Amino acid sequence: MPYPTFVSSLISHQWKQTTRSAYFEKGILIRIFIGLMLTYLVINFVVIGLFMGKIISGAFPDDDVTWAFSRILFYYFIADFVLRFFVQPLPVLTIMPYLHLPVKRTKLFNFLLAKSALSLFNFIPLLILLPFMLKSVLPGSEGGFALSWLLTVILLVFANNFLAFIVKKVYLLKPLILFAVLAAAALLILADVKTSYLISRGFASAITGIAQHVYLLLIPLTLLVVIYLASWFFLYKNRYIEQGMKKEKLLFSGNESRSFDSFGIPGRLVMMEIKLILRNKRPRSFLILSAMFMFYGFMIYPPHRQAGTGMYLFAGLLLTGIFIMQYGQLIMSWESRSFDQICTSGLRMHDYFRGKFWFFIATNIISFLLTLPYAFYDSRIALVNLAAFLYNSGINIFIILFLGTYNTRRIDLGKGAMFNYEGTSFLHFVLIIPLIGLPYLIWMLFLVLGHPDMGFAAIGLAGAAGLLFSEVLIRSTVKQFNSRKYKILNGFRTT
Amino acid sequence: MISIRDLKKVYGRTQALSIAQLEIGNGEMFGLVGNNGAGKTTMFRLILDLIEATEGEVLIRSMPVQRQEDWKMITGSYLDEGFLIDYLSPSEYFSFVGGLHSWTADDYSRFYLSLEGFCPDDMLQGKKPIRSLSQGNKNKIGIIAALIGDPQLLVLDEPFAHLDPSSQIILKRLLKKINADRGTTMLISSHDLTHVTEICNRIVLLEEGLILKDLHTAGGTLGELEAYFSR
Repeated sequence: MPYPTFVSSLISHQWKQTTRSAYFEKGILIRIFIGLMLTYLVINFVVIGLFMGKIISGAFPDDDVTWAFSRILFYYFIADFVLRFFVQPLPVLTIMPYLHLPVKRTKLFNFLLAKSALSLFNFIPLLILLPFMLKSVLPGSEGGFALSWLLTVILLVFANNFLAFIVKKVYLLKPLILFAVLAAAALLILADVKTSYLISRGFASAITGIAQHVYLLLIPLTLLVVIYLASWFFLYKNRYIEQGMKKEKLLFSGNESRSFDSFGIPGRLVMMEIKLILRNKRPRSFLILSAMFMFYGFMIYPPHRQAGTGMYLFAGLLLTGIFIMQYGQLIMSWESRSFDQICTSGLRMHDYFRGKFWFFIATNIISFLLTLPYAFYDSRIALVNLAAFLYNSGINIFIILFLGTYNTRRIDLGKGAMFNYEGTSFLHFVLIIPLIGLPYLIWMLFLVLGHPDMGFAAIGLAGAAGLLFSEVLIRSTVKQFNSRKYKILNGFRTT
Repeated sequence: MISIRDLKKVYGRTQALSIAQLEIGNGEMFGLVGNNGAGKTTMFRLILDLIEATEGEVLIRSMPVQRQEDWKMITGSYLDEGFLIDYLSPSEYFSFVGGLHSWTADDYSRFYLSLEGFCPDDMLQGKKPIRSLSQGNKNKIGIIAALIGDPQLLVLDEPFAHLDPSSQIILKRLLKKINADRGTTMLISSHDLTHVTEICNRIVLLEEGLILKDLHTAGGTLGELEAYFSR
């Protein structure tokens, strides 16, 4: 078969694979909705690109606009890499059905890699970069500087694409690399901040420097080629593993479950919850989104350092409780597929909710510890977050469990979280208001009385009281559950 | 073991099940037959308190299932895939269920031995999640999990469906043996009339939610049932 025909038939196979998948066969309304959303996003990006110059010269009046923007790109590339790692799907042209046919493997691998380059991740940046280049870089720069700058950045975007490709492939073989990715990203950012932005400054100077001489474009080009070849060889080396990968691997399997045995049945339930999250796509993406949300502090804390502690409280409640507020709302729905089992096995509902309670406490502790580094900005943050942590643990957990009994929708654990509103109801969006608003009101009361610090103490004490009486609260949660039991079971079974 | 009193389940206007009085004795092998929609699964779900009874109540060992939970400790059940935690491997699932009955490693090895080959070893050692198993193997996993904890009452909905012929034969032998050794009361529904008449000593025939026949298995039972279903 001549090469072009072969490639076009591969493309047509891909097209059929996409259009014939269950996901694509959605109603026309959904498609129109998605189309409108995409158009809206495209316009947004272009507008951002056009105004980027203004925004930057406002934020960094002393720096050259292109240089300052290039500095921001340093963080963009890190975020882009992490996001690609978690969200960008690997191009799966299942190679197996082609391997026994008289087709050169090199063609298949090239096709596979080229397909990954067609990802939206590589084209969305263009929507911002191009308008920015035309509006802010081109005027006032000599010769091909603007064009070279754009090319350099684009080459790096694609290099990032293939780098993420390799790392993700490695991840399928060695899942622990996930932590290495997160650690590397965090370390890079931390190192940059600690060296008073030496790294990002160097990065910006390098990019603008390369753009000044056309022949220096060879540097990013070489980088791209090297990474491309590396991913090519990786594919080649692991070509037989492709089939093995389709077999589902159980994360977290084996005997480590024994380590929780000493905690009794609640401990076992916590273990089950961890397995549920790690082994299913949708809860896993909730976990990842919550983890990424921890960086939200960088946006909240620095601008409000002077403004007092009201914003700290808001951030503290949100950051130490984001996981339970997000994941927790669907708390029983996660198990909707096997809820009959939970209700008939020798598990007492009191133990069941005790398990949920301890699981939430554990995630709150982790979130709390993760927010502690923000205390470098302002030591008060640690105290505020402690109060928020206690409140989230002693009060909000029970509000979430209580309201969770009203969620009677079945969830398919295998689908991703993006644009997936299965199991979510209106309640989901409203719930966050009392969870944060109530403690905020308590604090405001003390603020009006002139003792905002006592307000934090009050919030913390309220949470501590909830923890102290947790058994009583669990008992009333069980009572609430029992009154809703048949509705929940029915909803999980049918809808 | 089980007493059912004035039990009624109504969906909208249709009556799914109505049983005025039914006693199932200790150690009884109770078979339930009937065409689709006759109310077999509804009856089992009511017994296991998975749906709310419109009227009446079910008592297991004189515990009203709606108001107490202790019956769960002596009851093993498998109705459908909703009873499987499908992201676990079979052995993880078993150890979770066994954990609820505080089983030790000794209990498991005794238990696996007593299964007489109903559960192939490679399934126990496998690291595949339950969701990737075949229908027949899922069914097996559910039945085995129902046996964990040495229940005094066992409720199985269509246990023979999807099983290969050898497994069907082993399962029949296994259930009979457990019943003989430990006096376990069993409630078994099936569309396979030969299987139920072979293992059950009492067979109840449901039609449109009502008990039509309540037979003690004897030589002519199979013929009587076949005559009913081929009307």
